[in-house]
Amino acid sequence: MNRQFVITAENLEVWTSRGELLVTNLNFALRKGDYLLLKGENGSGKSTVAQTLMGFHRLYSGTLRLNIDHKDVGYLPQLGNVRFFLPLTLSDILGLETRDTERMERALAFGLLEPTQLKLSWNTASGGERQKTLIIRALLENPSLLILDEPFNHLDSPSRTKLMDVLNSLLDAQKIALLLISHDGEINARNPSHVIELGRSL
Amino acid sequence: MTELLSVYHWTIAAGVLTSVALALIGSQLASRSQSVQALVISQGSSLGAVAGFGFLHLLDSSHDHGEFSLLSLPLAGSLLAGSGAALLCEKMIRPSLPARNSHYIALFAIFLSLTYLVTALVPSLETHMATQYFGDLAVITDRESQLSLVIAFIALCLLGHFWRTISAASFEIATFGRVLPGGSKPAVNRLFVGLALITICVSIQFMGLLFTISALFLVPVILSHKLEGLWNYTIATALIAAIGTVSGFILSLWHGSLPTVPAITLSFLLIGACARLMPAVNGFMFMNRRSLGNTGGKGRKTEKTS
Repeated sequence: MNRQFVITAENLEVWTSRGELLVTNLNFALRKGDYLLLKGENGSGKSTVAQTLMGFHRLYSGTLRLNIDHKDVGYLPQLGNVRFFLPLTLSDILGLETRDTERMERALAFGLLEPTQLKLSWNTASGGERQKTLIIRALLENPSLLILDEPFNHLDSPSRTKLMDVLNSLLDAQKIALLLISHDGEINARNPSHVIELGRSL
Repeated sequence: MTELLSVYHWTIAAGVLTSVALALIGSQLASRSQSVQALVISQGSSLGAVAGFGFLHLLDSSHDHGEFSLLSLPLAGSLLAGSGAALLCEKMIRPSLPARNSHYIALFAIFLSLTYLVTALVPSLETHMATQYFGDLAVITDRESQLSLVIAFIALCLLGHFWRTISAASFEIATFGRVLPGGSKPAVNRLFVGLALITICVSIQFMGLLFTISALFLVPVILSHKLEGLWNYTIATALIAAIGTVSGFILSLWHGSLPTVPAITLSFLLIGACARLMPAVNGFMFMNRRSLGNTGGKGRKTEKTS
């Protein structure tokens, strides 16, 4: 079956707000089922590339084509240690309501969080629980393209394995194209279809 | 007292609904770290209202202005200047700017100076200036109360309907610096921004800066870090804002020489403090410290899923 590209980038160059060239000659094209690992050292521009793909960073040249609606892009930015003024529980953040059992079942079906953890407050949850909440939040919207910026941060080993399983099953079913950003090349959901190390293309 | 209350029934209804709407809006603005922007917008709106009155006076000081002119020109000025202030905050001061609160405060100082300047140029505005700042719910006309009531009612209906989505947008702004695409969040967020602007400007025009700022931030701040769960927090915020407004207004009528708005502000503070301290309320609604079996007995905060 001829699968359409979800996103393509040709000769993409990305600049910083100070006018410095950060990323040069970036080329890739992803279909559903494809997995691109974007790796590189700290400050190499991985997160800026993700922000460019999301339309948040506009200082770029070259061709960037998103062939799906913007709302079909799931995005997990890097998580800082942010406390929130409103006393939201993880369940609130996932948009779960008691009457919406289908969404609740889907959230739990990923196996990343236990039902009791959904009752935790965001401000008292651990970094790993927060990270998993945000990953589930992105997955619940049924994205066609999933951009995960350092998703394994804060996660313990079993949680990393579980997340890899979830991503693998979505890739196998060709439900998503995955762009995973990691400074740690050893953490892979599977063998990537493409690997780009910023500064040199493999 | 009953007679007085019957005289002020529109004012009390408008005060209650406006304070509840403002408290809910304030909790979202505080979540987005936009409290200082709200202060700048409020001051900009005050400038617009005072300029509206000034324009009326300059137009023809001997002319007896109809109620419509007295109501509409300052309100239009308040909305225009409030929107202008919001636009300046949005366009001139980038979210990534270091120490951006200092930039907002600088903008606030400019608006404050301009307000003082307009008042100095038109001396008969001094009473309006005082009303604009400290407000007095007892002198609001029925027409003004009814208009405030309608705006607050519409705001509350929309806030209630989209509360979860607005809270999700606030969470994303606080966590990621922006509303992420997907679902109805971006559109609902734009609706919230417009709604907050109109509600604040109308409140500034009719109820004054002190009432607006108190209702926006005092109640949400009193309850912060005390409650668990969005639903509990929302109900408690709305209740304290409503009860604080009624009790403050009654206290002011009962005492006679107590101005309404400071009495209401003190009521917010007292009722909020009592709510924080009451063991019965704590047991029912506030922080629940049950430990979770599967969290290694850390005993972190939990709540029953609403």
